[in-house]
Amino acid sequence: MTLAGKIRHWFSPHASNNFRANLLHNSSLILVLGIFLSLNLFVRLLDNTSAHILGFTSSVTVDEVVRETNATRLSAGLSTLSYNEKLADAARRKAANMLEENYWAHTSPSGKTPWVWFQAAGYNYTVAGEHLAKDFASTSRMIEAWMASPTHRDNIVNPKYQEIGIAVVPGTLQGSDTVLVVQLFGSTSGGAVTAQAPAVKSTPAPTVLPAVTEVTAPVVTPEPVVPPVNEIQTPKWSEFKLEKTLSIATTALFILVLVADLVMAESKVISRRVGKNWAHIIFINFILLAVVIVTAGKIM
Amino acid sequence: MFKDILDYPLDYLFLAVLSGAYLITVFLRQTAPYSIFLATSLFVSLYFLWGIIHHLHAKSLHGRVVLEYFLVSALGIVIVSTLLI
Repeated sequence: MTLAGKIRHWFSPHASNNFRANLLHNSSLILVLGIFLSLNLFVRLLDNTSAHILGFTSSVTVDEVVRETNATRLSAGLSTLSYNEKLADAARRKAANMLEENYWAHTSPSGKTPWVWFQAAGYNYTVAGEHLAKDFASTSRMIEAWMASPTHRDNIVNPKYQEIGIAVVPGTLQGSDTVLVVQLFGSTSGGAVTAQAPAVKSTPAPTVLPAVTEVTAPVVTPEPVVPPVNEIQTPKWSEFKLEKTLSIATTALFILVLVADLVMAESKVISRRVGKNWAHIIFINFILLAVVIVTAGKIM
Repeated sequence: MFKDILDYPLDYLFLAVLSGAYLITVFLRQTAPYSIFLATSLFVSLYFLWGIIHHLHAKSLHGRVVLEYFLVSALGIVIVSTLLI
């Protein structure tokens, strides 16, 4: 069979395919399902993520966030961050306040800045930062989203940070069930600056959105060498983007084949005992729209 | 080309309403994966039932047709679910 013949066999109704595009035959649908699932599995293996076995709500865990943040820093040539229980306590306080006051922002409606929670937990920082995320199904997607945002990426690969604290808190925020993640960075090093922190607190706070960083006193220790930003490996294609592209391509291909099959069958007045193309077109179109709408989650 | 739609307008009207309701649900709950999964499961299940009922109306129900609707529905839920899990 020639190439043109093969294309006709797969994509348009003809005597060779019993007057139904071969791609729309049940055996081909099973094949497409298998290929689609295999490609998805391949994308996930490429991304080297852990298996998403904990269900649809979220598989984000504190350990994973710490591990993946440190892996990102290591790949940028930086030291790892050590987990600090006071920072974790501050993160939990922040998350609890967000759910209590029902807001999605770095500063609460009642005016509480992120730095309030550091102080409440007894963490006397010289440098500090805050990241927020919600609705992510997996840790890797969340880290990818932060790394795709220049301000968040700068925080993750900031050599001044030495410690990290994480809170992963399920709850209802602004009417939606979600899993809220608060990631706090900090450092208490810098000689006498810790004791001076209250005195320099009047320093204007830096830009709060989208990622928050505060320096209350200059860090006096020699700064580690920071690699140029363009040396930091930020994947252009994340797992989520690849999966979304694959989904859109599959649905778009099906819609095209269904339309072509419908038009040709109508023009040749072919009568067949098969599913209704119009119904499939409507169904797959709405699946396509849903795929376009779905997001991986939100960061701040 | 629109013969089937014109022959069974109520069937297609129901399908359009069902699809619209699904899309509105996804749009309103776009950051809630579990809600989207539930909505998609309901949508594909109803589409599968719609296919059977429609072909019963058209007196064209056949085992292969049922399998076709099952596979198209399965493809729909698999495509959406891979983005949610």
